[in-house]
Amino acid sequence: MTRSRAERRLAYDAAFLALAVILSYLEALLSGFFPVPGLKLGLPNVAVMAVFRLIGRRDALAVSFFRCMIQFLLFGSATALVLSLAGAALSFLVLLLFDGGRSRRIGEIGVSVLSAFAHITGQCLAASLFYGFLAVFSFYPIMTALSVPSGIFTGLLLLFILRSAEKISQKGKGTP
Amino acid sequence: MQKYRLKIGDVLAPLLVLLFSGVLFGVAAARRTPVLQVEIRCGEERTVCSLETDAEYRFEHNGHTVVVTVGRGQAYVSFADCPDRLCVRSGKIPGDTRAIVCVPAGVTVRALAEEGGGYDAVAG
Repeated sequence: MTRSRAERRLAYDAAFLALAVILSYLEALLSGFFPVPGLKLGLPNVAVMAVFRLIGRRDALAVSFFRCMIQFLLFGSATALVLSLAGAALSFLVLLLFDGGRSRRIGEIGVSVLSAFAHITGQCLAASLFYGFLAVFSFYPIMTALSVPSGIFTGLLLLFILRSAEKISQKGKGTP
Repeated sequence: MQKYRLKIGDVLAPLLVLLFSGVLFGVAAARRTPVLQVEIRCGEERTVCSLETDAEYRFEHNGHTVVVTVGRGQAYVSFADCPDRLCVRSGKIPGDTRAIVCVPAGVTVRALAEEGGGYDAVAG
């Protein structure tokens, strides 16, 4: 990889990381409007999935990890960091497993739904291990059900981003 | 630019997640037992209290204040100064949930199905 290409890649990573942090904050603001406590749309995951598809796996992993760390440094507690990392790790595992929706059998929307499901599962598992009881799974059934519409929503957003990137690339501006 | 075509996984994945969710709802409903007590934990401090005894527990931990109100067969977080106040919005035990967790303050409230311990408060 030439130096200019590496620099451009780093710049894209940084831009998507900034986007992920902004989306995390926006999501936290929006979560107060949902009837189910703790329900989130998974907006930062859109940025991670977009990096996975447009730049690469390692970059997506880095964006996902540093997004959790920045969120922790700005607003969170150590416990919140553990929950956030557990959710992000399982979610990323789904992306790896299905190649971010590029596989023959499952596309962006399906992967996005599974990723949202994996995220809430990871968080609940981490919380139950951390606090030592299974009652934290009280909201798990409703959260898994709601991961379907939120996953479809983020999948559609991802498609929009991918198509926009494709348009830009066709105009010759290029992606890394 | 290609038009997006749904793949089999795009349909199956939401269906499987919904099915799994439905099974979880069924299991949760089948295993629902009457709640007599709640256990409140704040750091190392553990408090077990009956749902029939009116009481208010105030905890100051990790720089946050949380007030847990117990009585009339239910327990809930009536006040919290954490940023998202998810614990307050979690509702009441046992009607809405079996456990309430305030992550920033490190306070948990969970339902106990049977009488256990016999202490109103245990500080450790």
